[in-house]
Amino acid sequence: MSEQGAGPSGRDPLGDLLRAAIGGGSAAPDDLVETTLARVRVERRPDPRLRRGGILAVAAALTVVVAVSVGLAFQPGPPGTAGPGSSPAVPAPTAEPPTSPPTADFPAEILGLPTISVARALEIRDASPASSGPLAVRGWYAAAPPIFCPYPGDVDALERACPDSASFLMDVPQETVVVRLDGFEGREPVGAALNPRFIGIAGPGARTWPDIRPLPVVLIGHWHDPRSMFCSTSARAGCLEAFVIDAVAWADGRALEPQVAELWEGTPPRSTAADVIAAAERARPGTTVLSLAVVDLASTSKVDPRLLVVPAGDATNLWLVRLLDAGPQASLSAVYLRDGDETVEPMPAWPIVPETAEAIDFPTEVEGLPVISVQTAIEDRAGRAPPTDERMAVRGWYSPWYPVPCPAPTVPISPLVEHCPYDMAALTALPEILLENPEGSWSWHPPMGPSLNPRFIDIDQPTIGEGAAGAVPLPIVLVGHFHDASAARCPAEQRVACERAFVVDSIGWVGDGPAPTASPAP
Amino acid sequence: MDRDLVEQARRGDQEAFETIVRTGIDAVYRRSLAILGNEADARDATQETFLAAWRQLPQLRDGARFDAWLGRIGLNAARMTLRRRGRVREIPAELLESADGRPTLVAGPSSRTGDRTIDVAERDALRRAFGRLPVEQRMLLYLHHIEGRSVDELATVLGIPAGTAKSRLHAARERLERALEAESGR
Repeated sequence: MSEQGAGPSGRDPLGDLLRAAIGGGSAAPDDLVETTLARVRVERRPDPRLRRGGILAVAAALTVVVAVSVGLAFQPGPPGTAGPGSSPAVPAPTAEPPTSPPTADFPAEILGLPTISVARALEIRDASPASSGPLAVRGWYAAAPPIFCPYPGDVDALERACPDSASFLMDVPQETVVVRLDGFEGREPVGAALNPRFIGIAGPGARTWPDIRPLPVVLIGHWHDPRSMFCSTSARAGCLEAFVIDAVAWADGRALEPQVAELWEGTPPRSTAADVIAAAERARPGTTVLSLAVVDLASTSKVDPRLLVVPAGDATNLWLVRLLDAGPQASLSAVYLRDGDETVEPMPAWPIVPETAEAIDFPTEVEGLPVISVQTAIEDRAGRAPPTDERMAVRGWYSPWYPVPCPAPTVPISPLVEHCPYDMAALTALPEILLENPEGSWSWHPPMGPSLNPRFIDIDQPTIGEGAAGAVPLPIVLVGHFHDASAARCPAEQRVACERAFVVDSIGWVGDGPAPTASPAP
Repeated sequence: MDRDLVEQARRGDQEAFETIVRTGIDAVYRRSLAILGNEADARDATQETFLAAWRQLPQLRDGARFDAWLGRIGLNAARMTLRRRGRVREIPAELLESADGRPTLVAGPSSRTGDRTIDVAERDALRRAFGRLPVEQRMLLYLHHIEGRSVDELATVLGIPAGTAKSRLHAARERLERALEAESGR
């Protein structure tokens, strides 16, 4: 076979076969030419300055990779106030404050919020079981050194504490890393400290490794983030105690403009940050834009799981805008925009208040098996070694699949693999409404929180009877298993997906259940 | 592609870019259709390719590399199109049996997942095998065996060394061969 490419001459048998099988002679439809040109004519070229953040992000990622590859090791100090998964295996030494500590002229107020110490922020967290609202916390920020973060498994972004568990916001300025010739070592901070969680937001980037001096900052954030409801049972408390950042408002002596986190791959954003800020301020007068994130459709859960369910239209990227209303009762909110479109949309509501979900009286045992949650089942799938097809009874909320038209796949697909339309069926940890009819047309969206896609191979899926309102998920216990024996017959490319499928053996229990109520959007 | 046209478009001349679109859209569409396997996705990927090209053209330093550069954008557009599948899905109202104004599940024996695979199995073996490959491998095979591009040109399109392109092309052929064997043994 020629390495020059044989072309359509017949000298390349594989080429001839491929040409016959997959085509090669179709001209673009006439209307496609005109449609494409029409879109080009109204297209603006983006502000080249917007690219800088992306390049810096890549550079930072490379720094981590390089550092790991030369064998550096890090033991993060115990956060004391930390988010989930941040406890070190070995107690780390304690940092000592410098004898001549640096000083900073922190502002007393920023964006209409009084600034408070880290110690005060921790008191507020411990005093209130509910959301505290926005807090502007002043302190000394020590960025995480370049550490290796193992794959966390199928967990919500709030549970992915690494590397934030190695960064600190502290009342006392101190270095939390000791650099040695053979690597570095983490130190437990002295005094009040917390681990700020940067989820879909750019951190204070003024100092980068190996500059380990703490940076004076004011971070606006909140406790009791609503996505805590998606955390696994074992991590829930840690998720509620995570201090989730909404803005880096001030750093090293100056107030900062809203940061833009660029979390897109592929097609660059069409809107500029300035466009988006202006649109948000027009739509929500009286609020202040705290920060923005522009994210491609495949990465929305890295920023906010609610973006999974918004209609993207023709956009390939979405903008999330975090807003502050600093009135007498200061509050946070968020809106989103489709890239290239200045229409400001409210974020969807979170699926439900957890108390309503927990009010359902699920059985504790079905068919002699203990009933476990969806999160536990997912953890079990990830952690069990060697993998088995042991049966388990999983409680959750069932949403059926619907007979929608699907594009014919170009490859044969095992019934074990998630594919249209059967991937619409979901056993969700919380009663999420996946089929909605907000404006007269039905649409389905994937779950925001933990879910399984149950596979009904030999039995029919549960029927939701007339009057039971098909859109409302059904409390249910499904008995089934992972690692079905038939996964061995799946094509190699689909084997892993086949093994991960939750194959239903029986419907163990079905409840009536109250209609879920949406929680107010924070 | 004419270098003068590319340079004019790079400076913001929209008419020049329209000429580029009219000249190049057939090739981009054919490639997208072959790689993605259906017309709707190919249309999306083609539009995204030219929109991205228009936006990013000021960053292209060497107009002589336009074709390869456009090929790389097309590959990314195909990847993104595949990623976008499976998000929010519109549901025609007639497919839902209405009850009290709300949707009711259409259930019964036809809801079993196994029935669906019977239709799928009727596809042509080589097309199925080709569709099993990762997007980049489909692109390599298409560019080389259908468009007749040399290994050096593949390397330029993909932004990789020629030796790497050669080994990846070899790997793509081997994988296609294995996929074909699997299809034949079905």
